[in-house]
Amino acid sequence: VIRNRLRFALLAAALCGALPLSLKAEEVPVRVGQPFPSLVLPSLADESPLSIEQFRGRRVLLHQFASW
Amino acid sequence: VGIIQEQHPDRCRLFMQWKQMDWPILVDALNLYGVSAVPITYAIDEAGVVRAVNPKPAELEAFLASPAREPGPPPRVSRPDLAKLKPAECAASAVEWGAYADALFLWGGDGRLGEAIDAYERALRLAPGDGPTEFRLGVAFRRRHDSAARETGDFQAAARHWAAALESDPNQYVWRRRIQQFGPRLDKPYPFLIGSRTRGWRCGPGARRPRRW
Repeated sequence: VIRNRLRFALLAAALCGALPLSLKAEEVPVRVGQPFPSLVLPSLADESPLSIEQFRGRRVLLHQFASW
Repeated sequence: VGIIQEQHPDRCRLFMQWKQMDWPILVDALNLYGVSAVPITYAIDEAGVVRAVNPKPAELEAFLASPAREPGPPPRVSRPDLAKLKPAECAASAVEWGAYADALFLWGGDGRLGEAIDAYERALRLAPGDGPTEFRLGVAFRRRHDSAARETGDFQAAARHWAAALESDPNQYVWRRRIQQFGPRLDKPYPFLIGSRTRGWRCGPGARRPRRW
């Protein structure tokens, strides 16, 4: 029984250790209550520089998506 | 407002036309926002502060009913000066070369994709195996493959760097989807998840399809 518990503990530790691997992407942090990170990117319409900050003063519903 | 995770803006233009959507869209071909899956929706208030992520209908109603905040003036944005962004040869870090490469890709046009590729390669020499840089280098090679500036081996290079990126972070779904759309055909099981990079996953003339289980 002790050996099984030890195995279980090792497995749990390995899983806990493995979890951060799935969060490795260098994600720009977006948190509720914090300003949305502002990056200047080309606009779809005419490839002119566009940033979320330019919509300041309006309520924005921002959708990150793809047409896959 | 939208942010799209796409290799080419043209594809999304057609999609927007088809769906009759005309909101402003930012094109994040390099995945600079680092999202690993889409869609994600954010409710952002007048001051640019995130009030909810993937809001449920009740949360969205509460957001719309909340009192308005005093916004600052919206900033003006312009194309960056690429010459000023170029890092000094001696003291540059991987981050500086990566940022310069991103700017060349986004604002330099197809004519400067070669320089963007060189800058990403320099970043990778300083930080070998960095997943996001490998992915972006793959995007740049694939973009050049589709341009008039195409060079022999661009497609294979894109596939190689995308494979290295995915090997560093197999759960990055946005990267995986890009490879499925613009890289060589992937058959499950993905060889780079079960073996070395060199085994089974090749493209170009004489390519072998990955083994099936």
